[in-house]
Amino acid sequence: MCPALRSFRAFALAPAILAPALAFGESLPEPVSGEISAETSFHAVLNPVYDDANGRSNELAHSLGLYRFQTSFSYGLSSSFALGIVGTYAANRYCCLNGIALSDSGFTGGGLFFDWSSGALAGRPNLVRLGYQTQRGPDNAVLPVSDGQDRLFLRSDWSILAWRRDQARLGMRLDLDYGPPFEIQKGYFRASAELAPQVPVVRSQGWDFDIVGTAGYLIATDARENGTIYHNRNSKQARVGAELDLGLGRHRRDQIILEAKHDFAARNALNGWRIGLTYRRRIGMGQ
Amino acid sequence: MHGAFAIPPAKIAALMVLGISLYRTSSAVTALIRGPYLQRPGDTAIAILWKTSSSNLGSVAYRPIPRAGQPRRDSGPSSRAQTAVTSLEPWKIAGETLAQDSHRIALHDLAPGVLYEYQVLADGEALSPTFRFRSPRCPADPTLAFGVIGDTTGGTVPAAIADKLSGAGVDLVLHVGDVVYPDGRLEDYDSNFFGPFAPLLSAAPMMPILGDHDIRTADGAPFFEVFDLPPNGLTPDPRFYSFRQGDAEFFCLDVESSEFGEDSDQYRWLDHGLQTSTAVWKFVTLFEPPFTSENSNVVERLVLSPLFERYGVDLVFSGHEHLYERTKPIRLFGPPGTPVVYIVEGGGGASVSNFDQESFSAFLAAVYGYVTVRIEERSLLLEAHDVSGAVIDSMTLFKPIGSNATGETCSAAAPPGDVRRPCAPL
Repeated sequence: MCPALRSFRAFALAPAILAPALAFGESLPEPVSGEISAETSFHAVLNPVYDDANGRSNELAHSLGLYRFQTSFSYGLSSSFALGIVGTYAANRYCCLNGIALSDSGFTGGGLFFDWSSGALAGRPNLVRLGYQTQRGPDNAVLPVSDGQDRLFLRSDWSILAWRRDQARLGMRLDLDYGPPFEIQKGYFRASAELAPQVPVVRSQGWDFDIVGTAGYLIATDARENGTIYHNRNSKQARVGAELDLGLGRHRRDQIILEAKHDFAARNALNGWRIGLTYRRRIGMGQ
Repeated sequence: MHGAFAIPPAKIAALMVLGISLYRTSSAVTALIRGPYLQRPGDTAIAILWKTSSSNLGSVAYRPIPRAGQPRRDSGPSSRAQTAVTSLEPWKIAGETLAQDSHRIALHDLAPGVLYEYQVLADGEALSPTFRFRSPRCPADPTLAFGVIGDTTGGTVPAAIADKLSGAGVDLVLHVGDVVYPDGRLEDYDSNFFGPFAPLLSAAPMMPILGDHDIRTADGAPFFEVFDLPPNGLTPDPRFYSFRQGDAEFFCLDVESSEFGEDSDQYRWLDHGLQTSTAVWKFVTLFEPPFTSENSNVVERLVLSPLFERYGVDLVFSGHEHLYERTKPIRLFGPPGTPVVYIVEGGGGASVSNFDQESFSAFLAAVYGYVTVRIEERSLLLEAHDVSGAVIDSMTLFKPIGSNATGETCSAAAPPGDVRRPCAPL
């Protein structure tokens, strides 16, 4: 055996960087002048299958789990604008054969973003986030959590329809990602649109609780998740699910979002259950 | 009324002459428009296929060539006088019973590992010059040579490869996919594949797998119309198949149009086939490489590589990327399990790929070319060639008797151009 290969396993388990989003259509916080919004989120896809370009499902021989932790802080420059930073940690794990798991984990990169809020409908503002996130170069050749491709990203969360005395609303979330070409890697483009009807269940002085249904569709120039490029041809999939949105305190000072979604009609993409938990807190508001 | 049927002998003679002349006219315009080319429908048979411009009764004349004997190239089997004066065995004839323009004749009961010569006939008349092939080797035969090509298209590269490989004395050729660009259309097979590769296809069976371009027309229907491949017992078309040759077994997979996940028929078929194989050498072909410095297919890596390691696959051949690459032996899930060397040979004529050589890569060259593998007893020599036939990389595998473990040495010839990071010999 060539000497360099003797350490291949150790090399395969070495930490690496970067993690494109496991989720799309995530809700955004509203800028509040002079306040900080802190957010931490966890998203995962558990034991997915891979559906090829013709929709044929390929069950993986072992259990694949992809995990992403993301933390961001934004500061409200005004009631319409906020400036923020984001950092991402990711882990991939494929387990187990002969007691061996292929895994990779590490900080994948960080970025800056700019939030803009314009008007409101049904008590929810229209929000746009524009940002840039760097990605560390991959140093794991098996299941890297980093693809090394920096990104421009756009997130938007708009209310396009309101009803029930302006309480319920239909939201539209649009996401765009673009990673310019580098080295031999072609440019990466990802776009998704998600409809999110939001229905209030509880509105009270101290807390409110909403249920949000989601139905979205994603297209991308290749099949990649959490840094690993599974296949380099065009990819697409639908995703349907629900979010439980709990707001606590005055003006939803604390917010917890629990989500569960499932992929459908995947073509050259992973297909499975996706879960997410987001905690958001405003610091300085009303204090 | 009886008298109405009485035909004078002179008229009978005239009709016979007319009939013979019509027959000869028909035969004279019959031309080969494809082939002949060899296929391996089974472990012990050779099939000879060809296509003619008109319908006729096809047949194949064949005979073994004595080791010391050199047949006269112009002594076709249709000339019985010439056959009679040679010291060779008499020609055997295998023929069709129905006239047609697409011909397929399987030759059975061939002596194993023997050089044969053959000629295809139309209505008993010679249609081709004589060609040679080596009959399938028996499982006990420790000797085997085969070539590997992939992504064949365009310009002079395929013809140059065919010229070099047909003179290399290989028993068979593996094609790792993208046989016909751009869309695998039936009308492109003759101009893009059978034409340039004619010298090679008449001398050695070509065992292809589907590439992404090959399935763009009717999910690969033209591919199965022209190739005659071993059945797998599971699917109507042999999209994946295996065959034995000498002490080597080949597992030819379809990752473009068939499921290969753990719950798929192909996965179970491969698992069972590798597990029960008694061959010393095991090889796999699949179109998209699980490991390459351009675009690896990670799904294959997660699903299929564990099987390759568990059952001791020696070499995995892929195409798709237009370059030659050899990885270091890779073992992700062991021990137990054996390291696997992954070979990419996609230099069959499509514009060469860019790459950023990965750490698992032992040798890489973005050049046109082909691979030859020669097995002698427990030793395997892999050589990568450019289109001139020059060796640009080589590797030797050894298998100690009584052991499944594979020893390996790596070496590289002086690299041309963009070859980087050759694997140092141990």
